[in-house]
Amino acid sequence: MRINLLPQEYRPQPLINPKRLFLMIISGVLALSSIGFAFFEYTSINANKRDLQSIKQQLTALESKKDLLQKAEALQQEIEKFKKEVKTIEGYYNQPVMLLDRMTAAMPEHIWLENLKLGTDGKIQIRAHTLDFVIISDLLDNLKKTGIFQEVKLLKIDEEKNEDSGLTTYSFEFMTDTGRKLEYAKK
Amino acid sequence: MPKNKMIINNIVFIIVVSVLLAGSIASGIYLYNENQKIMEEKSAKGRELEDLQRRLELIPDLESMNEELNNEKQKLSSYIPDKEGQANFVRELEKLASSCDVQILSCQSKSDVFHHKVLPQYPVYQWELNLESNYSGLSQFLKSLSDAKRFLVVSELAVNSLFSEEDGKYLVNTRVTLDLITKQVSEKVN
Repeated sequence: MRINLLPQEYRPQPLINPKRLFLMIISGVLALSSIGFAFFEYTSINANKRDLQSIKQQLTALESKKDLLQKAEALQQEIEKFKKEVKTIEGYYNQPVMLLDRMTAAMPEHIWLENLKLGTDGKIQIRAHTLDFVIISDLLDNLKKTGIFQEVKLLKIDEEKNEDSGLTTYSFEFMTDTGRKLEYAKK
Repeated sequence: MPKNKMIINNIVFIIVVSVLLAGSIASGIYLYNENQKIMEEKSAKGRELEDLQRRLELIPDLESMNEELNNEKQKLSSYIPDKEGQANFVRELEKLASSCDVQILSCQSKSDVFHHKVLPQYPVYQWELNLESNYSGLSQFLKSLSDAKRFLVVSELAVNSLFSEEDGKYLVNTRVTLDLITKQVSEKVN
């Protein structure tokens, strides 16, 4: 039996302490990976800087076109807004030509228009003559069917007899509404 | 090896390794943050470039487009000018009436200037006309208002049919209120 009589600190030590070796490996791996990561980021920064530079150059080259484009776009927007407002204003008004055309189309034969009045309130008042009483109801029905004239309302019918010719005519008045009311704000 | 020396060696080793590790991690984080900033700027500039290229593709000929738009704006500005321009209006009216065989019996401008409730930036000058024509002439005249050089709209209309004893034809006497729309120029703020 061999007995080592040397104190602990003077006894031969193993060449590499396994704990220290483990620590060295771990710290080495950590150091290497963080250095690798830093290197990767460094090269990535350089590449991104080059790309950014190239984009900036392209943007500078397009600068003059960009100004022109912005002007064109602003002008386009202004014109569109202008046109939209014109359309809005047009929408406030009744279209007399269309109203007269529809009115004429709805009018049966043997009706003579005496007068027509279209006001800013969208109301139309009409006075006309006819030889046949029944035709009046045809006219009112036709006007309702157009869908443009709302609330066609007969106001009065007067019978008129012509002594010379012996003809009996009917003078009648009716009212309708287009639903478009003009509203002004006086300044 | 004495025990103290070994401990010192270990401590030195740990310090060196820690400094190295901390340094490399810190530089890695710093570079990562820098890279993120550059990437953000790059993607923003890239989007700006893409957007610009896309918009430019939509308008291949910018200069002629600008010219066209300026002409259109000019047309709109003369269609809805910033002032009433009575002389031009009367001239235009006379031209329209004579082309439709409509006789203007009277023409009077109202002293009040109106504004639409929703679009008050468009002052409305009203003109009252008294016209005489046959029905087709009146219809043509009303139609031609939409083709006028100025923005004119009928706000009131009163049509009376008349029988002309002279030539045995039916005529219409019409009272029209025309709205002449103008545009208020916004005051520039210096």
